[in-house]
Amino acid sequence: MTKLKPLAILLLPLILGGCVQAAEYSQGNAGFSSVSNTAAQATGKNTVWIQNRRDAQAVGAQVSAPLATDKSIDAEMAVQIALLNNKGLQAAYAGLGEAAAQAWQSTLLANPAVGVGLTGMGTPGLAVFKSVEGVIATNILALATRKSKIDLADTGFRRAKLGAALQTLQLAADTRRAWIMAVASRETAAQLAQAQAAADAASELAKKLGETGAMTKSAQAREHVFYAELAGQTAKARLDARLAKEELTRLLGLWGSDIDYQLPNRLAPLPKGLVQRDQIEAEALQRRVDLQMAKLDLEATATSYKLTEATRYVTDLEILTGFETERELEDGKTQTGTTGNIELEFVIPIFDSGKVRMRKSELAYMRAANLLAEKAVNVRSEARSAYQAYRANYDIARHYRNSVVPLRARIEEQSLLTYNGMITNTFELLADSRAKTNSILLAVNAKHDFWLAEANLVPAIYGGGSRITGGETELAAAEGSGGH
Amino acid sequence: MKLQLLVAALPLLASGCAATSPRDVVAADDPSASLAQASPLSYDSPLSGYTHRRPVDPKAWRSQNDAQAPQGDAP
Repeated sequence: MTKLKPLAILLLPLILGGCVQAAEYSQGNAGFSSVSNTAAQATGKNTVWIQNRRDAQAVGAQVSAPLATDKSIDAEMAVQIALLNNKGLQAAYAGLGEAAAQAWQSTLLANPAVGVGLTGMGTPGLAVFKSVEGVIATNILALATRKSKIDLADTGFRRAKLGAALQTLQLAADTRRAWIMAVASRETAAQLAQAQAAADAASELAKKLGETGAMTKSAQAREHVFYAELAGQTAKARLDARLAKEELTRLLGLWGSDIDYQLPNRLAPLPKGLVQRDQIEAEALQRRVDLQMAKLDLEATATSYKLTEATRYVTDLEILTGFETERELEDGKTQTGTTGNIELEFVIPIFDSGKVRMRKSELAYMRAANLLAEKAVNVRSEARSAYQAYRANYDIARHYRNSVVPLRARIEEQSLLTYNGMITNTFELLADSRAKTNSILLAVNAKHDFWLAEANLVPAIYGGGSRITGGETELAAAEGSGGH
Repeated sequence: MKLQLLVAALPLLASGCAATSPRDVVAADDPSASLAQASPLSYDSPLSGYTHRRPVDPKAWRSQNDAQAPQGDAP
């Protein structure tokens, strides 16, 4: 029994700590299922966390298959490829793993420090030593505040899960926008090339007429400069198309021979009807991932405040348990006796009463509360903006398609009749043709704006939209932009 | 006693010999290393196809007239 006592004293800190299971944090893909579910719900696409070379090869094969065919990549396929192949996203998932490891670490008890000492070395008659001291030091405060620290780490882990989901949604939204921009710029370049062909014909005719003396030099120059300016615009549009494709290539994570993928020449026509989304503000409040992150920030600062309050006065409290075995020489015989001991170590809060730490915690809470309120206001407004842009861009695009372009076509038709009747000249006919081409260009731009606005709806509801605005394309009257 | 010391020092010796590398997560083709797949780029100007024209003075009417005349021997 006497031998058991020191053993019990030694094991006391370990018994205090107990044993903790942290299965949720210790899995290889901890937290990824929730990220994957959020991404699937918002985008309908798969996400993979690549953790070894075999995974990487499997994903590589999955990505290469559609790229190897001659078929052009549609928006859905582009988003899927980006989610599988973008290495930045994989880096974000590694960040999620780090947060899980950190939470796992918080569930583990701090290792007790063990000290063993020999005293009285070389005491005559006792050979090596006189007494042996063993001590185990355990931080009692760490045990007392352990639950709060685990809660805090768990909040951090949940925040990391939302952060990874947000980055996934961000990539999906960016890829969809980049695909729309890449295809739209191809369509614009093709339209401008058509207008340039008409301007080229007019310029050529002006030159011939100049040679005959039927056209003044200034009138010739007007035709030539119009053609030259249009050639400049077309070149810029072609460059934009090339750069937009590279932007998409970066998001898709492609390089080497994979970059020779094909894109469609034009965006899909306007849909016949729109999706009813008048509850978008409520939906956004429920589902915006960044809003949930802001809520978790507030929760974390509240937990942190409580922790600071708990450790305000006592910042360090250690229990030291141990034994001492002493040997004494009595009547020529060595007597050995073992005794246990317990010590407490703590810091006396004379100079630092913890007031500053409390104030800092309070301010962190205030900041988180205000940021949450700001985020909520922004989320509501962004949802309304996205809905407005979606509906209005549809109406504007329909207006150009159904009202402006048919009128321009009618003008050109009549112009052709008067030209055939030798009432008007060739240049008047060409001017009307150019005005029609410009109107078609404006209609194409309006269609681009609609598809961009449509792509911005999902980020407005789930998060991940960096540029939630309406259309970016300038719409102007055909006469103003193209007439001369 | 010496044997016990050796046992105690074994983990230290073992840690010195450890040479585990982290798992590789990039497929065999490494974009940062494959110089072979960075072929020279081809460039075509976006302005290709444009013909520059200047305003011209009237040409001599006779040559213009001849240019418009049908080719071949007159009947």
